[in-house]
Formats: sequence, structure tokens, C-alpha cells
Amino acid sequence: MNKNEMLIEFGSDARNEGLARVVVASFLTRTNPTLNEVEDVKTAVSEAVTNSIIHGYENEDGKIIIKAYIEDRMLSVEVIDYGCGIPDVGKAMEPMYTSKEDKNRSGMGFSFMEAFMDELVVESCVGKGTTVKMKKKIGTEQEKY
Amino acid sequence: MNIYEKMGDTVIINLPEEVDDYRASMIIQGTDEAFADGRIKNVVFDFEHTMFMDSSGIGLITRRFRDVHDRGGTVSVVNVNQRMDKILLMSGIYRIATKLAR
Repeated sequence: MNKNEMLIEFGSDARNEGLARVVVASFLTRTNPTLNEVEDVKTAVSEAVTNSIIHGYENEDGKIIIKAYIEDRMLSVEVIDYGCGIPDVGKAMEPMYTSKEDKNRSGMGFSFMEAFMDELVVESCVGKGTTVKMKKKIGTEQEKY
Repeated sequence: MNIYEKMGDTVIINLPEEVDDYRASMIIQGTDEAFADGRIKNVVFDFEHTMFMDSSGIGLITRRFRDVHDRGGTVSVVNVNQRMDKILLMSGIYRIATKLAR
């Protein structure tokens, strides 16, 4: 009852950003989250999936996998791609840093994930792909700013 | 609803319900012609229908800010709900964009 898990795989098409958000938000429902918490998770998932599409696969075809797990009211989400990987994760996570200035990227993707989730871990291997692991405790409703 | 409305040297961009990377790219393409003649000085982003935005929306606002800033133009946001205000505040975009009263 207090545990649940899901896994989806979809193509790296920008139109699937919406799909990914809605699926994870729907999965989260049974933890009885506030509207704010749902929106926080949707934003974080959207950022991670967008990164996979734009940076991981550079808008080429590829597969993105989302694994999500709930235990009590702790949500864990992993967004996995098998794209080009990130050479310097520390640099990529610096606020305002973007490798694609010309593509109208704000460089705030990881900052948003950090702000809206409680935990963020990024594992990446050049040429193999990137996994973004995020956690959020539902029911704490702590404002971070 | 048109993607944008032009009034003199001002463009009002009507944002959709969800502003993510997919929609932000479409909005940039769809408003390029409005900025092509170089007369536009002011940009207003109307959030009336917007319930979701991620950092792609910040990229969009920043892009249009760069387009008009050198001409002494301004960027504003209007009809911002509580969630959108949180996103805009967090991003620091209020340093370059003015929030107009509803």
C-alpha cells in the first residue's frame, strides 16, 4: 500500500515533455500532495527531460526512461538517457551556465531541479548517457525562497 | 488567439497554457517576424492563460530582452499567477522584466 513504482520509456521528441510531466504528476497523486508539490515535481521532470532531448540527444532520436518510486510519502524519480553525456557535471550545474547560448537556453535547468526537489544527483558518462536522480518528500511544503 | 499582437512599437506575446521547451521554440519562431523590422521596442508577455512554465520560458523572455535592450526597449510580464510569480522570482528575471498590475 505504501509502496509503488512505475517505469516509462518514450522517444526524445519535445512533444513528450508534456507527457512525462503528466505521467509523473499522476503517479504522485496517491501521496496526496499539495498543488504546489505537484507543480514542483512537474517542473523538475520537465527540466530533466528537456536536458535529455536537447543536450543528451541533441534533438536526434533516442530513448528516455523515467523510473519513479514512492515509499510512504517520499518520491524518487530517475530520468535516464543514453545520449552524449556531460563532460563536466559540476560546470553544467552552475547557475546560468549553458552550452547552448544560441539556442535560447536559460542555463537554469539544474537550478530549477535543485530548487524544486529535496535531492538531486547527476551521474553522467561521456558517450554513454546521463541519469538524473531526484527525490522529494511530500507533505513538508517547505518554501525555499 | 493570435500568438502576438502588435501595437505601435510594442508587441504583446500571448503565452499558451504550458510554456516548456517545445512551446517556447514555437513562440520564438512564431514571433520572429514581429521583431524582424527592428522597430519593436517593448515586449509584454501575457501570462493570462499560463499555468505551467519551466526554465525554457526564462530562455524565451531573455531572448526577447536581448532583441529590444539595445534599442532602449523594455520587457514586461502581466497577469502572472502565484505559481508563475514564484518561477519568475526564482529565476531572477525581475531584474530585467517589470511586472505590470493585472
